Amino acid sequence: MRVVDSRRKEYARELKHMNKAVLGYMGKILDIDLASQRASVHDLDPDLPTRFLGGRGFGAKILHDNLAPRTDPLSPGNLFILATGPLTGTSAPGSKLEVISKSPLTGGYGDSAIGGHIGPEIKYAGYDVIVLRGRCEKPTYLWIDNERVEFRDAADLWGKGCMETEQRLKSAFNKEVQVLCIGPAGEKLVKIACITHASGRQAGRCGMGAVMGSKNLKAIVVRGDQGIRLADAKAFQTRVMQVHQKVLSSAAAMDMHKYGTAASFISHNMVGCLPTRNYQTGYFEEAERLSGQTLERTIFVRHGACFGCSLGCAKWTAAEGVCIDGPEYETIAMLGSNCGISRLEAVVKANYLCDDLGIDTISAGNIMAFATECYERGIIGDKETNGIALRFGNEEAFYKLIHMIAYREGLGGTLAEGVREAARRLGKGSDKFAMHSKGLEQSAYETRAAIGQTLAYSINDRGADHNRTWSFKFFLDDPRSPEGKAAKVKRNQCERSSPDIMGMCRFVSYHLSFDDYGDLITAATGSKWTGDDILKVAERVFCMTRIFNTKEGYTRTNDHVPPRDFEDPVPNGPAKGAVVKREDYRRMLDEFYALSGWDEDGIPTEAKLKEMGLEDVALGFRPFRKGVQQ
Amino acid sequence: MTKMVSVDVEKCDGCRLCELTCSVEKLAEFNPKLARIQVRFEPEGKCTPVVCTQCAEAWCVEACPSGAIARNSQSRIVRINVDECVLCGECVPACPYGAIHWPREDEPPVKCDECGGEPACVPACPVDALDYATLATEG
Repeated sequence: MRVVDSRRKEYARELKHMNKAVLGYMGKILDIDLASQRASVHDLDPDLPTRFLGGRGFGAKILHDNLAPRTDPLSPGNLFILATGPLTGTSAPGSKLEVISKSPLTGGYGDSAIGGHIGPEIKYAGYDVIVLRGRCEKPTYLWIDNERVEFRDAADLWGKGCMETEQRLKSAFNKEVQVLCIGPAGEKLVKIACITHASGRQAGRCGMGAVMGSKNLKAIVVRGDQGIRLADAKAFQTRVMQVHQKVLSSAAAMDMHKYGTAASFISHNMVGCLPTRNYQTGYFEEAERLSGQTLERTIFVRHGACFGCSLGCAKWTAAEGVCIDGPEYETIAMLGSNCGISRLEAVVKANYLCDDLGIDTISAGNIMAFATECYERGIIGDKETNGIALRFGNEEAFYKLIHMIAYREGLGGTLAEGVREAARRLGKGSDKFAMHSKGLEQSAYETRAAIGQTLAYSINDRGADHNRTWSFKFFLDDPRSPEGKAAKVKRNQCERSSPDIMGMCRFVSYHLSFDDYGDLITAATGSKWTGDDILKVAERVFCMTRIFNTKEGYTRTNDHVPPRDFEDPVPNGPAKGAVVKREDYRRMLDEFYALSGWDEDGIPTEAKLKEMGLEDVALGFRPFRKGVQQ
Repeated sequence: MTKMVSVDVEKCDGCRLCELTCSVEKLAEFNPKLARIQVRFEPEGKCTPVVCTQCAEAWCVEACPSGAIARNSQSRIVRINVDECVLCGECVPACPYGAIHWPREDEPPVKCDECGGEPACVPACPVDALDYATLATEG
């Protein structure tokens, strides 16, 4: 075909004149000031891909460089950053978009990843990163069509659920568009509000939906038809097909395809780390009824996949009159066993409510279980709950409570502030039952069963979340001993957080090697990348976010775990009697700091920053260091 | 022997690897909007890859006023000759399957040409929703 030939020639011609340093990227940052409704486009500084690779790396650096410490996360001054990586939008498996901002939930560095098709679309529109600043005067949605950026009135979408919002926006355009939006919870600045895309894909953690709401931004609609050009597209495609074959020939990956992420539900229960009734124990006697295998047998409708993914972990299900993309492992554990619910159908309904109203299912399940334990222990009563019998297993009570949180009604208003703040407001010793670290609600792993994960939750930059460090497989090797856990956390932290930086999904990464990723990025960018280079960037990004948090006033005391981990031995199940010893935890933390090149306060040392190539960051960092004159 | 790209909509999970593979094969870039195969999404996770089957009664050929769309009598493949195309767009609604795709109005529409007998999208599909096989009716 001649059209192909002419395009290829044009491509080769352009390639010669392209900035070699940003090959594989779109090379542009879209900077939008919501207050003045102005958009400008900047070239991507070649330093960003060289030192930070992409995704969360880009976001963390841009946030650090442009946000004054102590900025109120819900003020117009906060930045809201959407960042893609070098592999986003290519045929590499599982494209993701990273949402980065200062978290209104934790008050520190925050981010959340989202799959579906939105990350690739932003790249096709011509941008690696979109930075939003300021606040719209009134409810607005953004329409980004390649180089065109429009601010549109969202008055008639305000107050609408995510499902209706997305549907209406999709049908408002006569082209295929991708939508990111918030629900009523984000509008009402609920601190656990998420951002939704494709009805079942969420940037759930850290209250990113509240940041969007604080900016009066109901939605971002994107469309683009600009191609992603790689240094060596042919080599990339050949290599990527081997990568997909690797995924398809992995039995574990195909299990996840068949049953969803809850394929491992029973095994978590078997080792006693399935959060049950607000993490009182790690064993749920009815886990069988909530497993991925049960899901596949009972409520399964069809498979789904994010962009370019050969694993396809998404499961569409139908129950209780709704059809949703989900529930996945975290949601089933948090809205299921952790709330004492054993009926998958009820989890589907609660999942739908959270998705539509726009709240994170992990934080919602954690907070509702916290409130339930407070109710069962008499810390709160019928007066606070408006007469709802908030008991574990009471499905109707949880449906009502989800509404109350999303609309900030009654007790919901307190819970909408996140579990840390809710415990502070409720008082009466309720903080003992607040399962969080740095203010982020703990995700679906009970950690006394494998204390390596206790350390992992506590040192995580954004709080108690499994997406930086998680691997029960290796924490299960001598699981109650602190021996060698710091080194494992250190290694896993870099491995597990790398996909966020490349713009990819970590579920696929389990079945690949870092050399696979190194080869793909080399073919994409034309610069030599090895697996170790990628891991080094991951460590650099961790240092970066650590510094961000230090500038916000974080010290060693912010690396903490819930009191329950130290005080309550697990009452039953496979980990019966397990409890974390304070001295063991302190030892793991000390070892981890030493391995990371952080001082005893958890602050990266000057030498470490130099080793990481973060001299520029160290420069502005000096005044915050102890013993250094200002 | 006549072959065609066939689609099993029950298997498609919407990953769009077919679109990606098509665009990199045809254009040496990742640009699904310009791919010759398009996955259409509906609510509740339903998705359908749409691609030309080079059907015997090609309505696009009939609809084209400039004679730009023609079938190669040997290969049976229907192609759009970009030099003769007048950008009228008549072929797009003429196809009852929506298999002619017109992503950019200042460029000719695009359609599948089976990559000359080895459609790149077929082996790229991870769930075997695409097949390139001999038509059953012809044995």
